Parts: sequence; C-alpha cells; structure tokens
Amino acid sequence: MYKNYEVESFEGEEFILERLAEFGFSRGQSFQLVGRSLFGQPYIAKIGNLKVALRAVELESIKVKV
Amino acid sequence: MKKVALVGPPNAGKTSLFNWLTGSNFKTVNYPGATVNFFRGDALEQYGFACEFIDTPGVYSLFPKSQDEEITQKILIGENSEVSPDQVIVVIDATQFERHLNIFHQVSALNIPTIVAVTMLDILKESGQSIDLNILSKELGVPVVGIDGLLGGGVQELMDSVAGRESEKSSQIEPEALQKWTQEIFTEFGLENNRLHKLSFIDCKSKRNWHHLKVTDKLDKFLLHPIFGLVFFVVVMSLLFTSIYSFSVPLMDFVDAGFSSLSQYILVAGEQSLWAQFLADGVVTGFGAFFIFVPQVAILFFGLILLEDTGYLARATTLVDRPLSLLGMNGRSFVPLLSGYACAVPAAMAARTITNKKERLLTLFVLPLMNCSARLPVYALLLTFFFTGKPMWYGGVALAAIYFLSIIVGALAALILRRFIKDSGQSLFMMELPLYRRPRIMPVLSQVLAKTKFFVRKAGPIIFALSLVIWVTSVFPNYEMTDDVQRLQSSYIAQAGHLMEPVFEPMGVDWRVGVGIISAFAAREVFVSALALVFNVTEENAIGGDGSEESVAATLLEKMKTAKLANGGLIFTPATIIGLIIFFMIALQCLATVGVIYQETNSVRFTVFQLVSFNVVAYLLAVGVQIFA
Ligand SMILES: Nc1nc2c(ncn2[C@@H]2O[C@H](COP(=O)(O)OP(=O)(O)OP(=O)(O)O)[C@@H](O)[C@H]2O)c(=O)[nH]1
Ligand SMILES: [Mg+2]
Repeated sequence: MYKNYEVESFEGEEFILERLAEFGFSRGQSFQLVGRSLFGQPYIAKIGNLKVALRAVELESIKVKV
Repeated sequence: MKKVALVGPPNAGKTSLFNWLTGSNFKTVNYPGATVNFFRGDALEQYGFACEFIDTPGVYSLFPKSQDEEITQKILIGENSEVSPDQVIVVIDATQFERHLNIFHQVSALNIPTIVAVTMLDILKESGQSIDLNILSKELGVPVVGIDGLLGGGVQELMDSVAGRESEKSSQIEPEALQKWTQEIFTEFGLENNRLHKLSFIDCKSKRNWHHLKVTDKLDKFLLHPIFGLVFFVVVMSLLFTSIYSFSVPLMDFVDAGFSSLSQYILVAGEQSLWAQFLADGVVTGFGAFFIFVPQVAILFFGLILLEDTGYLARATTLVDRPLSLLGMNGRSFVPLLSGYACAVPAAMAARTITNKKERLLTLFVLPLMNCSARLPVYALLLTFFFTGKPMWYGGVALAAIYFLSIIVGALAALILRRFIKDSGQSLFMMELPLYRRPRIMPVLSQVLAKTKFFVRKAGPIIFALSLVIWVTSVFPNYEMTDDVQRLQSSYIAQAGHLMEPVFEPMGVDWRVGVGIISAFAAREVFVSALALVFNVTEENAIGGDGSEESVAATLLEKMKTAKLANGGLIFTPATIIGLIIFFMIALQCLATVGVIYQETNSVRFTVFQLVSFNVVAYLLAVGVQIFA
C-alpha cells in the first residue's frame, strides 16, 4: 500500500552515506516511506524489516528511480 | 587472561549476552545507544574457562559517528592496551542479518580472531524463518553460535568456542591504516554492495509476514502520528513525572525517617559528644542528604528503562527531533534532558550518543537548567510559605509553572549559546526504530538497580564530602558550646555568611539565608535544613513539640513570617520568595554536576563558563526582582 522506491544513487555528506549504507541502503535496494513525525520531519522509512527515522536532508541524499 | 570484546550493532543483544557470560546483569534496553561506556566483567566460573569480557557500545561499522561509537573503535584498534581484545565476539541480530554482517566483515578485516553470536533467533522463528548456522559458519569461515538472549541458551557453547579459538592477533593495526582499510571495506561492502544478498544461509521459504513487524507498524501509525502521537507523548511524560514525584514520597519518607532515627540514636548513645555529633549530624545526615534523592532517581530510571525496553523511547526521540533541532539540539538530546529532571549526573553521560559536537555541548549546557529532584524540597518550602492560607492546589499549579518555565529557560539558554559555539559540521539524526516489545519486569528491575548503584557511586561521594564540610564549618571553631544556635552563629559558615552579606543583601535576604544558599552547594535541598538551623528551629523547640518533620517545617514557616532584616524590614516578602525561586531554578550549585560536565566536555573553559554564567544570571535575576518590586 505504500509506494516502493528503488535506490538509484547517493549524493551527500559522506558520513550520512556511510550510515545509510549501514542501515542497508544500497543501489537497487527498495524501501518505503511509511510516515512522518511532528512538523513534517523526520520521515519514517522501512527498508527490509528495519524501520529508521531520517531527516529530510538525510533522505535527500538518496536518489530514487522515477 | 584472555580478553574478549563483544561488538555489534546497537540493540543487537550484546549487553544481554554480556550479562549471561559474566552474571553482572548490567543493563539491556531496547534503545539504540543504551550502552554509552564499556564495561568489563569476568566469565562466570560455571563455564569452565577464565577470561574477561568487554561489553561495548553498539556500532554499525568501524566509522564512528559519535563518542560512544568511538569507544568501540578505540577498543578494537587496541588503543588502550588494558582492554585491547585478543578475541572478538561479533553479536548479530538474526532479524537484521544482512545488514549486521557488515560489522562482521569489518571486524574480521582487523585480523582479530572472531566468533559470531547470533541473537533474536526466537523472533525469527516466530515469523516462520530460520538460519542454518552451519552453512553460515562455513560461508564466513568462523565459528557461529546461536544465542538466546532472553533465556541464556547457547552461552556454554559460545564459551567452548572462545576457549577453543586461537587468540594471537596476526598483526597490529595502526589507526591511520584502519582509516584506509575501512574506506576500502566500505566501498566493498557498503553502498555498492550486493554481495551480501547472495548469501544462501537464510531460509526464506515462508513468505509469512513478520508478526512483530506487523504489530510495530500498527502501533507506529498511532504513536508517530503528528497529533495522536503528540498527545500520547504528553500523556506518557506526564505520567512519568507524576509517578516520579508521587511514588517516591513514601520511599523518601522512609529513607528520611531511617536516617534521622539513626542519627538520633547515635546522639543519645554517644551522649552528645563531639564525635557523636560528627557521626550523627555530619556523617549520617550527609548520607541522608544524598540518599533522599535515590528513590526519585530510581523511579525515573525505571520509567526510562521501561520506555526503552518497549521500544517507545526511540519514537519519542523521533517526535521531538524537529522542535529540539530548531533550538540547535537533536532528538537524541531528549533522553539526557529528560533524565536531567531527576539528576544531571547520569543525564550528562547519556548525551554521548549525540553525534554533532555543537549539539552535544548545547545539550550539556542546558541540562542543569532542568529541575532536578534536589530542587523540589526548596520549591516546596518557598511555595508553601508563599501560599500560606491559600488552597493547596495553588502550590501545585505554581510548581507545574516552575517546571514549564524551566523548559522555556532551557530553550532560551540554548538559543543564546548556540551563537557562541562554533559549528561542528553536519548534524545527524538517522535513528533506528526497534521493534516494539513487551517489557520484561525482572530485567528492567535489575537494570534500575545497576543504574542506581552507578549513580550512587558517581554522585554520592561529592555530595557526602560537601555535607561534611558544611557540618564542620557550621560547628567549628566554637565546637564546645552547648547552645547549638550560638555555636552556629559564631561558626565559620556564619562568618562566611556575614562576610558575604553585602552580596546577599541586594537579593533582599540577610546572612542567614546566605548561609542556606552557601550550604545548598552541598546539595540544593540542604538549603531547607540549613535554614531551619540558622533560624533556630530544632526538633526540641518545634511547635507541637513532637519533633516530627512536619512540626519542624511548620515552625520554620512561622519563623520565616516574622524574620526581619537588620533594618527592621521583613526578609521573606513575595519579592524575596520569587527571587529565591528564580535563583534556585537557574543557579548551578551542584558540584557533582560541575564535575561530570567537566568529565564529559573535557573543557575547563566550558565548565567554568557554565558555572559562572548560570550563577551570575541567577543572582542578577533575583536582584532584579527586588529592584522591580
Ligand atoms: N527476543 C529476544 N530479545 C533479545 C535477545 N537478546 C536481547 N534481547 C533484547 O533486545 C534488547 C536489546 O538488548 P541489549 O543487550 O541491550 O542490546 P545491546 O546490543 O547491548 O544494545 P546497545 O547497548 O544499545 O548497543 C533488549 O530489550 C533485550 O532484552 C534475544 O535473543 N531474543
Ligand atoms: Mg548494550
């Protein structure tokens, strides 16, 4: 029911990218956005069976296929 | 003795395993970043092999992003020879397998003999999946042991593997080399990585959805909802606070009664000799002055650990990230700030999980402005005086207002200070939201006990020592005098009060209240007992004469009503009371806090600046209220 996004590439601060990788984001990996917190941020992303909260800037470092 | 480090991602079950191995039952909580320091413990004898285990803060990789993660990296690269491990047990959560293997690959690149311990197999099983540990062991080329973190299954097998595994490190790693290595590993296993998904040991035949994940999703819809989530958050926090202050009352009364009867007993048995007084009024009362907080702190720990264990705390952190980041802090500042309402000492250590240095410093800066429990007796006395003859709830509302105000003051302080701390790069939130779990009461209780013990050891000695200093200076030089009041009035502390009277005068108070304020540097609530002493309220002359605490308080309140300054004016006017309340809200009097802030920031400048600025601002505001009135 949530839209599936597929990771195309990454762009941003290195340590954000590192942590994204640690969370399991990698090229071709799909994930969903399942919610947002107060005042619109952080976003809640679901990747595999992991849920993570990501701020907008953090999420923006993931470029997805359209 | 062989040293074995437990390393793995946050919330993977390292501390649970450590507790099984060492029996120390330290703390395990369902909150990424629960362990912010490393702990050492010897293996229990029953396993038949002697070695030392080191429990480390969770890391996703060997690129530390925060101070707690740095601790793990330093242990792994052997920076401190005392805890340089001969072997590493990489603890991996079975439900997060592919992701958690990253850290295994990085650790094994360090050439330290490694064993993999797989936890959370029960959760995997509930969802109809399984892992073949034998295949896994072959693929990884190291022993793999399944662990039941809840019941302790597999621990003996793990110990046998530890005993059997050779422990020579093949090479020593230089920190610079590590940086390069990890970069390489990063590109190999990181963003470009598809390799892990090809591993064949996970049996995913069952397409059944994760039961735990489903429940978690359902709950999150509600608990992270911008409106319901906020309402729930406010309700939970209010409940937490109400319970801190209401459940602790009988316990505190109990502690108080215990210490005062012990002190009475000593005085009687020692026939009021100086030594008996030292023991009773110095040592025992000093212990009492500290232990009186322990119930509140323990209840706060209980609440926090319960929330952590359920998985809610990570959500609460997420909810407040935005508001806190507008103040220059981070969602991760929430746990330290909240803990600050019980005691700033453990709270300051909890700030280690904040990645960005500026955000961490800001959090440490505003932390002492959160109304710690030591301030409560002071507010209680002042508010009761202020609202004499008014309905009880006036005081309650005023107290709530003080708490609310402390949040505003903290926010203001953060907004001001953020201009003065130089930026330290990008801020990071990126929080893992663990699955919700039903908390288990025994582990929670044992964690509360362990954390409380840690708090007692950390804050106790300073508060105790200062209480002794206060006692000595309030008894000497004329210690032979039998009249307590005269003795006090000629004591060193009274002399200090007199000497500093010009400083206290603008606050609208005389040297006696000054003595109270000076004594409050031992612990804020000592203000009340010091005031009772300087205003000559003793258990013998208290109204009603039963010497009970209520009668002492009532008598003190009576005396405060008529207490006069040297010029004949009343001391305790509404302006003075408000000034004192504001003073106590802001002043940084607790030296235990100052000590831990120094330890956490390692900066004399920061610590001194905080100490001076808080006290100067507190003083000026109190004086301002007088002038304004
Ligand atoms: N169901 C289940 N829960 C477990 C198991 N092992 C640990 N837990 C729970 O998982 C949560 C996290 O455990 P900890 O031992 O605190 O994890 P940690 O790796 O020390 O976490 P950090 O200190 O944050 O890095 C706690 O609520 C544990 O009770 C297990 O095998 N099965
Ligand atoms: Mg831990």
